[in-house]
Amino acid sequence: MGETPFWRRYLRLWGSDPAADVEDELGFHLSMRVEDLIRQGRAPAEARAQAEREFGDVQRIRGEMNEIGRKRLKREGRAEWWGSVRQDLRFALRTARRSPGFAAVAILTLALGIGATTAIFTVVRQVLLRDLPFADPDRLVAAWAADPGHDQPHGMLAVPEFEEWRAQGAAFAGMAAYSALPTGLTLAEGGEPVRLRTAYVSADFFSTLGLHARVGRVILPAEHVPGRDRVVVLSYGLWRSRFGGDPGIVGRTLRLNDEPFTVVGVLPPDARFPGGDTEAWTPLTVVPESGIPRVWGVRWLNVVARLRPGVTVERARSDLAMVARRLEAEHRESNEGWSGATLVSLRDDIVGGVRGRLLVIFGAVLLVLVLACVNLANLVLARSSLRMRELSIRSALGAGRARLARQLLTESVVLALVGGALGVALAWWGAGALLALDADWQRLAGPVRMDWMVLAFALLLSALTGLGFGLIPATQRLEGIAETLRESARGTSAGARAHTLRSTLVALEVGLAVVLVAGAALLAESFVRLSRVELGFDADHTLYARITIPSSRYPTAEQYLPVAERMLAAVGRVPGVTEAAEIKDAPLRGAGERSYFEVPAHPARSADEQPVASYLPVSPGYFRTMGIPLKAGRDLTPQDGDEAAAGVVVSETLARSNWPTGAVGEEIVVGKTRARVVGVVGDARYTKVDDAATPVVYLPQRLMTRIIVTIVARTPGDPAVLLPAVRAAIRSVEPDQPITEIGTMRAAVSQALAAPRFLTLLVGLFGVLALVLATVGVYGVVAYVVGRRTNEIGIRMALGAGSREIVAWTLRTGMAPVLVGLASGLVAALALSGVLAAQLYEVSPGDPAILAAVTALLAGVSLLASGVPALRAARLDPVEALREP
Amino acid sequence: MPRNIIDAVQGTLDFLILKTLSWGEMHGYAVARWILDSSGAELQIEEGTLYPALHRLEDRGWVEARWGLSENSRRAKFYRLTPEGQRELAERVRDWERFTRAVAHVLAAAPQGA
Repeated sequence: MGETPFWRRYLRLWGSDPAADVEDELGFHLSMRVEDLIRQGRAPAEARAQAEREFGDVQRIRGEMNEIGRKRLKREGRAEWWGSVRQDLRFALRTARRSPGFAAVAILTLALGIGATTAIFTVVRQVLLRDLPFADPDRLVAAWAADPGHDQPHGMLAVPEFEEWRAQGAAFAGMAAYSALPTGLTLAEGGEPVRLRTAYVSADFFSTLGLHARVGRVILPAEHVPGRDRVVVLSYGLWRSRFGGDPGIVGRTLRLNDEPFTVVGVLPPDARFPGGDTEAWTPLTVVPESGIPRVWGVRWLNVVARLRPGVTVERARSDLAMVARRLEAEHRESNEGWSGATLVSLRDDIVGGVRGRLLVIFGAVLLVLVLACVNLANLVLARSSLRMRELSIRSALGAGRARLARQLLTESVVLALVGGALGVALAWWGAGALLALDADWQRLAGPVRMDWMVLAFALLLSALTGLGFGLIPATQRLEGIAETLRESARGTSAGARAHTLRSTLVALEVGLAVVLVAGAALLAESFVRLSRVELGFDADHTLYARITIPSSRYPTAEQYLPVAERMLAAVGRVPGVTEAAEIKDAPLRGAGERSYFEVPAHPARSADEQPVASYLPVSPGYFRTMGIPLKAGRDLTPQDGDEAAAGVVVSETLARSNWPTGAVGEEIVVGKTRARVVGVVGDARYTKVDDAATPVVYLPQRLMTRIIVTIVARTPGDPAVLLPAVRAAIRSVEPDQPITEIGTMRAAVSQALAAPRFLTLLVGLFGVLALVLATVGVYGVVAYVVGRRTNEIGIRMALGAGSREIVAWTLRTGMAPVLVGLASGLVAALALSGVLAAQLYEVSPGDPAILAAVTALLAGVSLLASGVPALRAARLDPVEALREP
Repeated sequence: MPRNIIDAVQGTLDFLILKTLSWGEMHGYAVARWILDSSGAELQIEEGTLYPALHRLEDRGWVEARWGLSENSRRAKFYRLTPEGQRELAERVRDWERFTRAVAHVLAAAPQGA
């Protein structure tokens, strides 16, 4: 080992070279030792050899020392990096403290934006992405019978039909049925009897789903037999709220529907199926035969099944469709037309209805967040002239561009993280509010749960937002430093570049605002149309009470009617009630029972052409009570209930399509009964507000006796006032009669419109926010232009430009990016129209009138926002203006 | 206390270096000479192992280094004890004396009544 190679020494000119130092040190040692040995009398060569021997393995030592040196360098580098990051943070905090106004605005804007987005993400996650509590949930499907000829893809199954499906379904590892009848078991435990939301399930229900009890056990197949089927499984929520989480609940006897039931178990907290708010599960056999006959044609079962491994949904569906076709041939009377099957993944079945709404809202809130970021970016840019000097000095003192960029980004990210932390708190409150306002979402989501995923989302969102609104100003500012050092920033190319950037951002803001405001306007128009739909009945003076005849006390159909009639009479006697009547399902609270009918005058040529209607049993006087106009003929009388001379009333649409010349007196065959049409009434909405009015056949109750009865009553005053009296009247006939639902028809209509109303309000809120943000942005840019170009304005004024010209010139500069934004916003709105289409009622997403109105609104508002600084520019004193550099 | 034989050797070397430097600032060669000569050539250590040891001591803050000129005007790295190093040395001396005292007691002790 010789001396350090000469070239290594010179490397030190570029900074310390630890490898060279190691060479020097070791070299020094060896040469000293050699000198000592020579002094002691050794020959130089021998001295060298001995010195090297005594030293040891030079290579290894060198390697060790270089390793130590490398580690030290890395450690010091890391410490230095951390030091600079801490410095950045300190600086960021100091900058924020120096302009508290801006910091406050930024943090507030970010808190709102990130909070809103996180809140909706929480809801999306809990509603759409929640873990279903079943084993291998993605193999589970929901199945329905389908009648393609009558556009009926979701038909429930009759009991014998289900049994055929289950027997032949080779593609399935298990199939089960359930019914979530609106009746439910009534719990009488002292005090007010309460109706439990009950699911009636088949023997394989729990095993097919892979659902296990948390306490106790689920219902055993052996218990699905009359005599042993008075068992019930409770929901976790019910166990805790009503029974206080009593550990001794298993084996306890409850009085349900006036009978003793044994509690066998409690399900886990997230086992909310079917329906999300089911409180009790009990065998299907509990529903009496008299209540729902187990025959072909009586469709009341929902089906859930587990696919065998490797079987696709389509293959399983076609298997079932084959079964359906065979059954259609074998049971013509009941199954004519039901030639298909519909299969949907269970997850889609559970969340499908709300997915569209939720995603629209999520998209809208993201747009608002982007808009807020763009606004903040603009705000940050506006402050850049003050920072420019500071930054250029730091650059001159040696700070690299990367370092300065990091500094600026640290500031924006810190603001974003603070805003984000606040936003999380807001989100927690917001998510709760959202769930409280939308019943569907609450049912699906359960209580608000802010866990690590939500927090991670909020953190990521905050970081991205901070980078987002800090990046553009950061890159832009740095380009101006060189110019700043050379000359004043005003009126230079740096100023011009900043202006272009700000204008682009404004165009972006306006574009986003167009999309959001257009969306809000479309939804608003849709909702207005929806709420103006001709319902066909009087919703303001009517109330309804839905009950289930207690089958334990009145086991046969013959016994239902007298009870129902007694209750009706009692309600009719309530002071204030002018009319009262009965029907199975009140409008918007149910759709009757859909089935075929025959017109002997012109029979259908094929199953597809067979007419279909909803059947509703009514008492005489129903139409008068509900305010449904009589268009021809007369109302039903008790005599029409006589099978030999049966009479029915039909709805207008049905009459027109089947008997164009007149329906009264015509023959109609419903089920097995031949009847005459005695009257025609106006159409009324029974299913949903936005469904076309369904054709209805109103039958006398004697011909279609059902266990479910809805009593409707009319009053000239406010129906809400009479609700307690009606309740008491019903109870006077049957004490402890549980009332499934009771309320005013106006409330029922409102509830039916709740989901679209909520969507409209929320997106409307976002639209307003977008409008405000965009307006502020436009104002900002024009004010900036006026501020920057004061000198130029003074020159123009000196050259003879009048105030009108100044205003025009300022407006032109301000409105140019706005126009670009409007155009691109319109294009974007049209491109995104498909997303919104599903939520709109009778409004096309490309509706030109609405889009034109929105464009005009934004243009007008932008003009106003530009106008204020433009007028200010016109009022400038030319002398002062010229004095500005 | 050292965890294994390597640590024991390393620890002892560190101990000796610290003690050597307590006599004043010196460069690496001088430290090596002092240790080897004072021990009367009883300790057979490779001279080279001193240097990694010195650098590690520097990392731990017990020793600090500077570049300077040797007595024959050559560029050399000089080492010196830091206050923390002095404290560490004092503690190790205490530990060593306690250790040797204890061993001596065991060697000198005899069973009762022998």
